[in-house]
Amino acid sequence: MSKTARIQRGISLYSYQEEFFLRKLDLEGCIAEAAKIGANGIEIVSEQMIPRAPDASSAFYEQWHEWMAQYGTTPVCHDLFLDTKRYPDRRLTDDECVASIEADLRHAHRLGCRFVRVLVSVSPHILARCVSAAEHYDVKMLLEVHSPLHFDHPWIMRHAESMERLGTQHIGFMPDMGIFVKHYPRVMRDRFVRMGAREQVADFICAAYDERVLSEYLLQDVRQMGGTAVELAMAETVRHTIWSNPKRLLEFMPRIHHIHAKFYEMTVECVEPSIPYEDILPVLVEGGYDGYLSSEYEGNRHVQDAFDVDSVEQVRRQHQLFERLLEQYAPVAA
Amino acid sequence: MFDKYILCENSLRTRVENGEPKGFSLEVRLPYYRALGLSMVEQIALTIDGEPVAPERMTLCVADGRFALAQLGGAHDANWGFGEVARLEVDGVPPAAGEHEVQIEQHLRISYLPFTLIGKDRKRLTLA
Repeated sequence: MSKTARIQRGISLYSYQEEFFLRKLDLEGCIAEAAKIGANGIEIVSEQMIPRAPDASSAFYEQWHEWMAQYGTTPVCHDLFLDTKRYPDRRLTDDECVASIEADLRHAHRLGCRFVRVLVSVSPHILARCVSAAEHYDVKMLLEVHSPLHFDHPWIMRHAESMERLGTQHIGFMPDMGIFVKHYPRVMRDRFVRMGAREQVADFICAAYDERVLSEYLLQDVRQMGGTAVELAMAETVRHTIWSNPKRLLEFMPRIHHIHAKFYEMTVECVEPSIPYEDILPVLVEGGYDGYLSSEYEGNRHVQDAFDVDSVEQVRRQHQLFERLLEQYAPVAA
Repeated sequence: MFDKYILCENSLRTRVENGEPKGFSLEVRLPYYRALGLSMVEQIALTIDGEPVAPERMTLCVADGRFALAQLGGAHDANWGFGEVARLEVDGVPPAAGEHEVQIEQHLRISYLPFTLIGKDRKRLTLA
């Protein structure tokens, strides 16, 4: 029983955060850049780019739909947040969490999005209480499986069990490809060196990452080498940056409706040195994935201290890679 | 993240009201990739030429309103926008004209992080 994959190219406008922050691009400018490269599925971190989100003005939603029509783009996903620690003296109650997510579902519906990204830290019992709102708006709530979590982590297993128990189609998964970091990202390593990590210690940590050494052992080794605070901070990142088996996506494919195509660096040859998209695409095709590859450039924070960031070029290169891989593995793609 | 953009260049100014010097101000941005409710801005620590500025002297001005730092925790409906240039007003004697070493540190309470997110910037700014 194998479905034919239908894989489309999209982008989370999160990828253009540097340019938006510096006011080099406004929201319309971001949409225009996406359309230029055929990244027509639009995902948005609304709290970045939409004033008063998730309670934007009627005028805004009208303008949004005009842009979608003008640029030929399709709204796909709104990334929600849940500020459980909003108040200094207490956490949000369960009722407040549910109300917050329902407001995000309504907003996603008004944007014409079919999904919301649910932060991986949200509990299954909260999502269970939001199912009726999700069904009412027909917006699926997709849990972002994000590093350091992965499909065999007990927290994700718990969520998967909850989805099956509830028997709803309106909860699913959106894996972030940062769970498949095969090699330590060069831009992260280089940033730690600029911050003062010794080259040989940075090399040691990158080698240990490739050798899949347990993070506790690596930290002990770096301490024993007389690791400085910066070097220990680099070693600590190995707790959060993970490699896991792309084939694990196959078991969960019926619940996977969106992919965060995370990347830290695209070389001039249109390769991401740390995440093996050439191995991930065949798995998505084998599993019959029906959805978008939504670019998520997250390299700016690792290079902005020393270089001008060109997110537009970075995303363009990732889409060159996608076109090549889709041609190779899924020539029947829409 | 966005640390090097926290202190805005050319933004250090004296504040004068009715011909009297009231203090000084500078423009600052939030070191985070989305808007944040002000109640989650835990601390803004400013140092001028190595001297820490007492928090009671400072008021943060965003599009959503003006808040003394002590009021931020209770500012439940006000946001600091993503990339929004806010003004930090400081009461008291302004520094002398000329260049100053300005350091800032912001502590943000981000709900999904198991630690306080700290952004730091340091620039030499000239008082205009």
